[in-house]
Amino acid sequence: MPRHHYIPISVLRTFASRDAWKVVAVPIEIKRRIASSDRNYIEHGQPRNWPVVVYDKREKRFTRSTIGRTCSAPQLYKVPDYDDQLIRGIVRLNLREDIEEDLRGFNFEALMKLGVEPLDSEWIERTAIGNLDRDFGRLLPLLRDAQPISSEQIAIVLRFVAFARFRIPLWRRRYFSERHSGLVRSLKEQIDHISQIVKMTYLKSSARV
Amino acid sequence: MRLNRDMDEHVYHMAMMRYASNDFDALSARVKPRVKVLHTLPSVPFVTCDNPARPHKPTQLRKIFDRGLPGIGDPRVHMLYPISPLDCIVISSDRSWRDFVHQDVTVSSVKAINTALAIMADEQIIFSSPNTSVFENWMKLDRLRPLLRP
Repeated sequence: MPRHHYIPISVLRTFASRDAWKVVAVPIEIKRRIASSDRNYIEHGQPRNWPVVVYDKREKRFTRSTIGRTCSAPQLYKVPDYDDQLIRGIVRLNLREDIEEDLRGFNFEALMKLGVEPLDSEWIERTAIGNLDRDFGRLLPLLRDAQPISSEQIAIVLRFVAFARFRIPLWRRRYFSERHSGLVRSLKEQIDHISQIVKMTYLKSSARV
Repeated sequence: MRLNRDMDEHVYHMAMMRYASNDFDALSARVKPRVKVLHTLPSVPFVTCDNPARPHKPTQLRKIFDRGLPGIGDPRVHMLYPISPLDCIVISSDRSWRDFVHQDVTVSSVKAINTALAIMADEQIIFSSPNTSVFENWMKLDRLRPLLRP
């Protein structure tokens, strides 16, 4: 199951530590083995497997984690199954003007296509979020080397940091419904309304038969 | 039940696409944000966490626990985003700041920033080494508690 990072790997990889084995509470022989494999991962492995020291606030303890499992969640931005008739209906409802008013700037043509064509479930991660992360990732060497950047590049930094606040699971869990419950409620009401109409139409046509 | 789940999921994805899109700039829409990139030394590195960009007032770190979310329109409010153990982006609407600047920071500033990041963390605080002497002295990791408005 793919994990989506809400702190990009391009940032997290710089926190990788060759000494992460020191926080593992195991006998010294095992620590040596972990230290050796960690060195190997950092020198030859994928950044996702690099070790990192993490303090778990809930468990109140230090752990040796990997970049792949840090600040990430399974399928955080995986789009739902748009082959589902109900979901396609929701997509079509979103094309209404009053909803567009609510989500100014959103590409509804692209969203409509999601309902009728086969869909890459990693679409959001690869396009909307991926593009922003890629643009920001290109700036990282400049920022870390204390280089000047242009006003367009400053705008990318601002967009990236603002989005950092929205993309975390905490925001979804805690603030998403506060911010968008009106829209969700309105969509549900419209679906209820439409299903009533469909039901009545069906009953009328059945009665005629 | 399923309708609720699907609808939430769908609107969430729409929101993510909108917030990540080129024409959405949540900060500049409200204020003129300024950017500092702070640089530290390896002896006292920055930490990061899973909720780094929460707005806060750096002069009121202990109040982060029980206060609401401050708005970035307040020039005393900062947003943090460490980009490595040696570099951290800070955003503020403070008019005395230049639009963009790099700046070396003192050990005490790094410790204050790390303390803020540890308090804001939802679940994970990420260190660049097992050296954890990177916070203000009063802050004890095992005494961190959930925030009223994380």
